[in-house]
Amino acid sequence: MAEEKILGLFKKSTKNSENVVFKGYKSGLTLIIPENVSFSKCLDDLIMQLDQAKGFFKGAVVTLQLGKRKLLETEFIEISKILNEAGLVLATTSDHQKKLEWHSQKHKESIPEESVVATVTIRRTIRSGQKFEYDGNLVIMGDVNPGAEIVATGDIIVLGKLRGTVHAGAKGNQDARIIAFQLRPIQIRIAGVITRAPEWERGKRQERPEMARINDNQIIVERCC
Amino acid sequence: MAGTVVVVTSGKGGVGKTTTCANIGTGLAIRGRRVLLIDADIGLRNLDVVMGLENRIVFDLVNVAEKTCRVKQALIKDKRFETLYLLPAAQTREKDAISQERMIEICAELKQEFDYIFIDCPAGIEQGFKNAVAGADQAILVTTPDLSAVRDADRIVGLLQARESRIDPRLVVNRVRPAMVRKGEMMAVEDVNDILAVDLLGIVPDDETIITSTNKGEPAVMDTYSRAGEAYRNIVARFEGESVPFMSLDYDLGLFGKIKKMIAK
Repeated sequence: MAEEKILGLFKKSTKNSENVVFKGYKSGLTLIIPENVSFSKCLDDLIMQLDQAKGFFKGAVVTLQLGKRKLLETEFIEISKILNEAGLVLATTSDHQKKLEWHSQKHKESIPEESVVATVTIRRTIRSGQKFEYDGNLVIMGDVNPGAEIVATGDIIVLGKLRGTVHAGAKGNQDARIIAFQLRPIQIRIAGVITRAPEWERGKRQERPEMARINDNQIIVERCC
Repeated sequence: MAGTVVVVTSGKGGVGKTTTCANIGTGLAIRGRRVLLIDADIGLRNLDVVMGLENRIVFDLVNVAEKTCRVKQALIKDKRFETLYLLPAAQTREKDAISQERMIEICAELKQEFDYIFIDCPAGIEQGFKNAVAGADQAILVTTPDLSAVRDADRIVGLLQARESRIDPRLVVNRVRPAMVRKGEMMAVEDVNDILAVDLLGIVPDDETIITSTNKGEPAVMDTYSRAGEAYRNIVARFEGESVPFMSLDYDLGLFGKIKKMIAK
């Protein structure tokens, strides 16, 4: 019954390919977004139509029909938000997923997936007794002094002297790396592996950038850059 | 014109805060500045002994904070210098006997009367430290060339810089033993400041005369023959904005050693 009603309601607009259209099928409600209209215009239209329907669609699950249009992730989120406000739920269709995949495929060469992790930059020296934790990558433009503690779920890069305690990949990321202009930490942890500076190397100065990473379940330090 | 409040702090105990405080204060008084030394180490007062004024104490900082006496009543005039005063700490009370607010008020009041107010900070980073730092405009950081003292000093730098009105302290490296530094058995001043990365105000060599002068209650800065005294006089000059070169730490090499060093170069 309800499906017929919906069809009736929007019969007029169905003919017009310039407008956003709701269509009722047995599987549920489908939102057809025209191919050749600007996205912002579509959004305005959608808001207007939802306003007109006055809560008629409340609780319905909506699938998107995009045609040749390619939606950006942000655009998809925008539509979902508007629908949510009107009490509708947006279902991710295979169609939509394909479009998103296509999008990420297109950008794969330029932006590798792992670098999309959030990164924060700290422009000062971290001193004894200070602790920095971040869910993502950490870049410190300054020194990390003995007695300071740096924890990140991603990589840690210190553009200065690293002499404190560092923990990269804190949530278990074995691929995390620690890079410093001068890598002289008290203790290095990557994921679940802990190592400390060898006693005989204490005080010895290494004046070139080095990188620590996990190899064979052990932390190794190697020259980098 | 209102004076400057300078806190002398270190984090670690026994590195020479009180001695530094007494010597810089006395050095400035020799130059005719109006100087007040406040001992904020309540319960463990020392500054009065180092200054040789312990027998003159009637009122103390806690009395002033609790308003059981007027500020002026608690000030002790130095026996040698007209412009030098001491506000001693209470020995029978504890650190929480004063509050940060009262400390700020007292500093603000006394600033009007003096060019410089030096606050001798207790060791640690707890209430006593917070009180001592509360009213300060500047800070002198004292450390010895030990890893532990430097790490504690680094903690203090962090705390001072994180303050609402940030203070960048100036560093005094105390008890440097040049012979040990040359042998690589002691951190060099450069190594210390490599970690702390703050303005270097002075280097004080380890000097036995400090022990006798401290026990006698006569700050070494008055002793023209003392190495440490000379270092403190240089610090005082630098504190007043003069550019004084850091003194050579080669004095204990002897003639033979100096020739050897020249050849080595």
